[in-house]
Amino acid sequence: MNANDRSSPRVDRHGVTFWVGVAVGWSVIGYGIWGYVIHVGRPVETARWVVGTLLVHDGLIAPLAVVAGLVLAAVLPRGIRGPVTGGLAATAVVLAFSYPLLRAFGRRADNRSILPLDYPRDVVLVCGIIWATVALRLLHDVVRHRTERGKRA
Amino acid sequence: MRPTTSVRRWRDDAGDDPRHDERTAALLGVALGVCFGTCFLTGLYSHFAQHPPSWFELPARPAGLYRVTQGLHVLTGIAAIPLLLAKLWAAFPRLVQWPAVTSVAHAVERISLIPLVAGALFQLWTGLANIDLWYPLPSFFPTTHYWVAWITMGALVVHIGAKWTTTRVALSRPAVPDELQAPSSGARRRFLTAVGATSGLLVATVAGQTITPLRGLAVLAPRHPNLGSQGFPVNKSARSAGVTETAVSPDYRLRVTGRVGRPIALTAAELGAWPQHEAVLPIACVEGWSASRRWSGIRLRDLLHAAGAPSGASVAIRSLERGGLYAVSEVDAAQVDDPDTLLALRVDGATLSLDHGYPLRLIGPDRPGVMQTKWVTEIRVR
Repeated sequence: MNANDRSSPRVDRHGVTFWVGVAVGWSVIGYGIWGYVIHVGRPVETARWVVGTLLVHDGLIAPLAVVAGLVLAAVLPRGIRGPVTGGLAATAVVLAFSYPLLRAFGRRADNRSILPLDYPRDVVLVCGIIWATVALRLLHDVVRHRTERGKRA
Repeated sequence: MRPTTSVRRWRDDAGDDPRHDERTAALLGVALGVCFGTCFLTGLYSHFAQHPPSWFELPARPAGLYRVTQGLHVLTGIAAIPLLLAKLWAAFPRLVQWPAVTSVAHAVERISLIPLVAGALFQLWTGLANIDLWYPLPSFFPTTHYWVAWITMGALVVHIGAKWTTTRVALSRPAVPDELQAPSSGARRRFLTAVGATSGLLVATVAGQTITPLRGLAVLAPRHPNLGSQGFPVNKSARSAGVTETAVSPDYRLRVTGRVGRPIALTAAELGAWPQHEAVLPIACVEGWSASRRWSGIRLRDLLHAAGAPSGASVAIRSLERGGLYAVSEVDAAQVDDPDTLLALRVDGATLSLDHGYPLRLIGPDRPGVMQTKWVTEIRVR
């Protein structure tokens, strides 16, 4: 192992607790796979969705989040970096969460109680709350910074 | 495959960032463990309620139990979305650790992460799609959700075993006074605060679909407890169930059949002449919304008594709907005997609308909404 390789594997203890967890956990996984194969219709096609979810996250979403974080860290001034990055991340989560609502996949012509709200307006409202919080945080930082500078002076 | 130089540099920089350290991972892991544990137990209850094994009898009391368990199921699932994304982001640098494995045990630990991460992400996004009535999967959602839950929970048990000691050590560090804390601990605190706030925000925008005092905040809820025919949501409309003609036909009859001494057949008008009872009960959907309403109708046990059914019998309630998965529901003996288990003709003082089950629907305590059968036409005594 390279001595300079700071985040090379931290070796967790693999004692009795670990092996008991492996025995119990893989028994449960085995039960789940058995039930999945027996009971889930079109198991192969559905398994593609399960594996695809992992690949899309680890191969696309997570790397994009890392790159976005590096770019933001490079372009945003230090004083606003944290709150603005947090605001962007929260906004991205809210947009992803709201995607089925915004696309109205579930809406039915014969049942107006499904997705009954004005979701585009509401998403703007929720994102407005996020950015108002970011603005308050930045304002708080500015006031604190000035107070501390005043004390030093 | 050994990571490239730039990936190694990014990974090593992350090694100095407290948002990627063991304490952050441990705190998020514990929060996720609580959420997934709650989701699993409440999900099991919902599954057993709808598909009871031989040893399980759905309790009739407390009347709002299913409303609470299924509300918790959906809300903890929603809370887990930002937590899981944050946890995976925090742990992501370790995905490219080198050497990739250091021992057989380490290999087992890492392989077990595949069903854990795949299952957790899959359960959350497909669960979210389901409460929004979006069904992109090629398979039936409840069955898929149930079995993938077992796989995910099994992988979670392995992960807990692997991280038990690490987590205990990471969480048992003595508290450091603010003035002595390194700037890094502030970064962790701000990160976790932001993640927690995002979780709280999502929950707050949906919780009002079941916690009615919060309904004013329910701006991202797929249902609103006060919107729908007669002022509350409809899961399946009369049109989509194909009962718009049969439910209002003069040929409609409620029949009590099976193990009875005196089979009964009643028209809609004759049902109204029976002694009516009132009960305030929630209708609580598997998708996490609920609404409490004042129902009135005939006690199920009164009808069975009049038909000469044996005491302690369970019944199957059949709808006019043909071919739907929930066209028939079972009512256990405990629920049959409950004075609030009604065949309702009215809700909040008005005749049931066609979408809410006119002329007759089952409403009972602690039952999933899909088992509150609408357009009831037959009660078969077992």
